[in-house]
Amino acid sequence: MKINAQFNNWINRNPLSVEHLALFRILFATFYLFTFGGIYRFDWMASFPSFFYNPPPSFGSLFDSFPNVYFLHGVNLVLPVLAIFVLMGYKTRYTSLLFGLLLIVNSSFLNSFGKISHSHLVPFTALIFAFSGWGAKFSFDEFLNKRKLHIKKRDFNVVPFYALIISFAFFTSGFSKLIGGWLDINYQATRYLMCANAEFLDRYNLLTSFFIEQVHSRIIWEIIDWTIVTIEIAPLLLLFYPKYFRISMFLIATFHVGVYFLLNISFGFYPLLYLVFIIRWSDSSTIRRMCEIGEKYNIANYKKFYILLALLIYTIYIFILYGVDLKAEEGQSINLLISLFISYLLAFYFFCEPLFKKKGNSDKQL
Amino acid sequence: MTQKKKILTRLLLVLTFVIILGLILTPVWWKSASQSDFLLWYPYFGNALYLIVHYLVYVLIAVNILIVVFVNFDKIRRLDINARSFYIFSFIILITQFVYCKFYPEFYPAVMMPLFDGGQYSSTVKNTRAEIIVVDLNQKEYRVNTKDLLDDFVGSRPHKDKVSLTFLNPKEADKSYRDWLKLKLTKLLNVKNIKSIDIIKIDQTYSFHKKMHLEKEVRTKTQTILF
Repeated sequence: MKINAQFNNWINRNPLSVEHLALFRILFATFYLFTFGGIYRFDWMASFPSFFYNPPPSFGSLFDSFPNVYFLHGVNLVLPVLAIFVLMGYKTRYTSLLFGLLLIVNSSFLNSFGKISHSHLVPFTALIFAFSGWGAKFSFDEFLNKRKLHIKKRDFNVVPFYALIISFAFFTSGFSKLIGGWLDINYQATRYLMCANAEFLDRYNLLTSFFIEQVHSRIIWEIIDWTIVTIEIAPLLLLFYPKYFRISMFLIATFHVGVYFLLNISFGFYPLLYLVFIIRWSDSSTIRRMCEIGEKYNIANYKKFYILLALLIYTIYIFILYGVDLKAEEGQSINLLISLFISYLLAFYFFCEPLFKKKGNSDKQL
Repeated sequence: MTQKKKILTRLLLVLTFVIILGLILTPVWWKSASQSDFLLWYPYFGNALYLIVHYLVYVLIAVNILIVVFVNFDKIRRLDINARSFYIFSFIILITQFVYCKFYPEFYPAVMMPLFDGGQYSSTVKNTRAEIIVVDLNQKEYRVNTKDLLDDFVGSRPHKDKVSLTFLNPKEADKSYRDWLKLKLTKLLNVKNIKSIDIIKIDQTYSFHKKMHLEKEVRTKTQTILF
């Protein structure tokens, strides 16, 4: 196929229907609310003197010191409200945009200590999908639309753009390694990074000691080096080939698990974000079943019940936020492990789902 | 497209591929070496080699791509693609961010993954730590790892390590910082009459052969704060 046609195919391809987008919205907001991204307080920043304030060029560089403690308390209280609005689909486009922007503002202050988080894609997911129409189904917006209380906004196919952002992000990491000496066969870069991290930064996890102490084969380390670079560069090269892009996204999700167990660097629930590309939305029987459940318990038909549910979630949330001390490293570590593990399990399930599908079934659906 | 344009495009793409392959195969010590290192190793063509490895190859890649775009401009312009300009614009923005990151590795735009030390890997490992030496009115000395003062900082241990280097920042110690330091140290060491604080920078060089081996350690006093 000519590149022109391939490009056109890619740009016009939208594998997600409005129901699928709504399911992704619900998964995204739920994971945000109950994992690392959601239940950490930010007011601790205010206790540091401005001496520590050294923001990179960002929103934070407009200020001289950490924000006031009341502002940070406000962020603690408003972010979950916005996440619940996204979950319930109330004025979804505006709440998603606000949610994403507030996360970026907050990250600017957090990263003014130096780069201390790996959650870049989370706010961008909210910002990009705000324009996708992910609030059109299983939401209060659907209820408002039915009663013509809501002006219908034009929705865009954001999937190609989302793919471009993610694949380019990984490409930057892979390309730096490619030209930076990572693949030099006289020098095992992964091993070097792992030893340096363990020695200086105390970055240990389940497999770190085993790999440092027991694996001495240069060939194995070189294979790891080359595999990492290939996995990181592949998504951008396979961008126009959805079938292979899907595999590369699953490999990236697996790579996150490997990085977590070897280097103790967690990317939280990133595998969940790749579900957009990993799930075969139109073929998946699980997704079909989930849509049926979504329709049955549609938020648009049970308005009062869901308002009470939202209030309950918020109360639990605030209780966790201010009642449970999540400052301890062990607590954070367990939280990160759970979010990574569950999101990877989902990615693994949906990646393998087509492999176990009976041929007869697929014929019937077609 | 004429045959000549086709051949030129293919040649340039092959050349770009060869240059990137060359970059991949360039030894690590060349990539991490400074200009003076090059001059020391190769007195006659050290400067030229340094410029080639660090600048010329990147310029060549950029020029090649620009020529390919220029030669094929008519074809690109004729492409009938929905939202073409939006995607081309996004891609240009992303590439600009990437190039910016190469020169300013501390800046991490939200969609970028970190560029490890600008993408350079050296064969020796340099590590910097910070330490505080507290002296009380009775001339008694206490040594504190700066990391221990960051108990309020919420983040993993490696991040705390990174932030602990902020103490080496040459910024003048203002009142809020001095008060904070005094409060933290008094609480940590249970010493009420702190007289002075020395902030020490510890530069360590390790060599790597299966394990890290400490080769050199240099301690430098960066700042003294009197109370």
